[in-house]
Amino acid sequence: MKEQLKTRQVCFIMSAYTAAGKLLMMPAVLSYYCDGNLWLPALIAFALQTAAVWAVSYASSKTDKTVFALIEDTFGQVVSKIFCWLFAAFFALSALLPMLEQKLFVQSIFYDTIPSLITFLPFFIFSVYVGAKGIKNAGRVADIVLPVLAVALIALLIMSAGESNLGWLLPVLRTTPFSGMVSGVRFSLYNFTDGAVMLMLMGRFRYRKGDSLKITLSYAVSALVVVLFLVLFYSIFSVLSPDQYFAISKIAVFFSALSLVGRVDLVAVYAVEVCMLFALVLYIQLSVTCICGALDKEQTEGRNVRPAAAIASLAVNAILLLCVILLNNSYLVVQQFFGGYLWAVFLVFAFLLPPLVWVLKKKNRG
Amino acid sequence: MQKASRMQVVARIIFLIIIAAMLFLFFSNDFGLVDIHKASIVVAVGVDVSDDGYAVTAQAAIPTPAQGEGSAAYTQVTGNGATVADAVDDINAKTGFYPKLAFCNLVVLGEACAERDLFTVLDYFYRNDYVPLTALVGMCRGTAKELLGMQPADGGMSSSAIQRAMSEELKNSANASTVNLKLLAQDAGSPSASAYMPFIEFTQSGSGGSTTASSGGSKSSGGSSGGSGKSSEKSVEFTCLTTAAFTGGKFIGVLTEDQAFALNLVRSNIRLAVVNAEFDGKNYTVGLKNNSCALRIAVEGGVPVLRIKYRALANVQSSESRPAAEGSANSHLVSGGVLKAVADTVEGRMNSLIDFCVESGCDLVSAEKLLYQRFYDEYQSFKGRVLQSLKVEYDIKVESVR
Repeated sequence: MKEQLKTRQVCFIMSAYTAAGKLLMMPAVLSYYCDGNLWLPALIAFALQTAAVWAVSYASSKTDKTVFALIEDTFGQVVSKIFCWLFAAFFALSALLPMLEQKLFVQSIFYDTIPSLITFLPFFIFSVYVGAKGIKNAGRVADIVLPVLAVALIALLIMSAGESNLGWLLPVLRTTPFSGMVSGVRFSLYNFTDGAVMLMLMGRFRYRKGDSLKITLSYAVSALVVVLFLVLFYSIFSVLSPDQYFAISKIAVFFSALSLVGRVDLVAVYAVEVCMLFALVLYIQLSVTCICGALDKEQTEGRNVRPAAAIASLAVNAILLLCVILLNNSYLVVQQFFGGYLWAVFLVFAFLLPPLVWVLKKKNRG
Repeated sequence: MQKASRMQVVARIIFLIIIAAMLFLFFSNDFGLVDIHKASIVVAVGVDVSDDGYAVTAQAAIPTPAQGEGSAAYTQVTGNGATVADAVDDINAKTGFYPKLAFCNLVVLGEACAERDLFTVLDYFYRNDYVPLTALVGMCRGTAKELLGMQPADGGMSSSAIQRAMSEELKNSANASTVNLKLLAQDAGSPSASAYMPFIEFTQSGSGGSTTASSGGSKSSGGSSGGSGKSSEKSVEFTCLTTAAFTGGKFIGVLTEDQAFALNLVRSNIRLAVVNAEFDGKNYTVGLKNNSCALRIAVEGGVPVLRIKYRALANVQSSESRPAAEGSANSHLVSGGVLKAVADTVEGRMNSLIDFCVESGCDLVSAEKLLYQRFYDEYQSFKGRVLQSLKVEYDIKVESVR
């Protein structure tokens, strides 16, 4: 095994990126379908994802191989290559809607007049560069992202707690119909790719006793923080929640000191935004890794990016850039399409496939 | 090795190109600045209903160049349109200003807005991403345009003076039913479907009694402008001691000062309220600290029962019976009789508020919401008629500070 990550970095990736990607649109979407019970669909999805993360991390104790190597051992090289391409496409797809959200967020928060698309395009320069870097780079970035995200989130939660009224969450589980819950899960499912991410990290760190528990706990803690955020969000905005896009930037605006000192909460929001960008680019990094795996090409050589990775990153970003340009004013259409049809893709790749790693042959450990 | 170093050189060149491209993108919008002569920061908006639709009055602070003459200036412009958004667009067309509502901290509704659905009038402010939900909302008698056009006693902008009359400090002392756009929509969107906002009145400086906006002086209809110490008009003082009430978006009426005081005790976190009570034919002005007012609802014998539990610590602030200057010990202590008079006064005001709610069907005490939240099954049978069948019990205890 070519070790690329420390266990700590795996924990940080599962923790920081889990939270960062779910604080923007998911609260508004869930509150639209589930009112004050928005925490329940998230809790169900997180519980299933925690099980998937545990299944994959525990499977890592039985083998040093990556999931694609295990597929190759079990089903042969062709099937393994097919899965490489499928996961590459899946991670590129996973980046699309969050990328449109980021575009709207950047335009909404950083600019107070009607901004043009060009203001978001520099993101792709960053995305091509970081996307070409391997998973090792994602681990190093996670070392920085987690503390930054933690401090920023704590600051925002403290600033917003005073405005919350938990009474708005009552009555619990009485007012939302089952169909609303199902819709809530379906339309937020594109945020839950963590099982698939863990699958990609498998075989890229040296497993030691107890690592599975550490990774699963890291994920679970992060999941609880997100659920707490959802609760806080609805207890602040209640009936206005479905219209409060970009929850992370709005949750602290009622902090009384802001009227005196100005929007200092934006410092924390900007910090979270940076973390969100890295969480978004992780999808592109994983997509590029899968493409390089499918082509049997090394992604990096020392600190240098190999041409295959650079071209793959350019290609993935070019496709996403094209989608962003074509869908510039169609966010809601894309969201409806993801919630109406593509949710099944996320169900398969992030919820069903990760536990199936246990049916693959594991030869080389213990 | 040679290959790697060549790659590094290429990477550095690409890095420099990227930096140059990003700098180009950053600086290509004139550093993000807007021509200062074309910009205005709208700090308050007044909405009136007119024959043609809506008249929106924007009070805007105008940034002035450092080398320009004069003090910080403001202007007031009125636009008309079929909707509020249309009227705002009219302002833009008339002035050439970019109306930036990101700093709009006050929305004043004229009396005629009572004829329309509240949230139809305010729809623009909830739809506009740049209007902060922290913006305060109030209603005035007469027109919002006239109110915003008045000169406050301190010579500044009327919107600043009105905001002071609706400030957090006055809310904390139960003297104003301050709400912002968020709280207003939350109240109206709750099962109680009732909302309230401060009712803004003014008094001529130096004169007694409140005056309605319609009887006060106003500026020209097209637009006006001013600056510090510029106006020679008679100045006014703004107060928000009364409260406008709404149910289902419809204007119900204006609470009296006593009812508004009770509403503030019930709905806000009051730090220090001042109550005047009469005992033994003498007036006592008592400060109430450590206020806590809890509303609990229960269903007993098939009837919803609202329990209002109020606790406070009292100290005498002023008394006709025993001036502190006469050297009495512990002059701030409150006697039992005065405490009872204060408690009776508070209960009387709360009772008056409940009567208003029951008579008008305006659930300002959130009885329906409480029943919905705590007793959802029972709520189904009382839905829409909680107030009519509501029984209210008071548990009011005021103790003297020690």
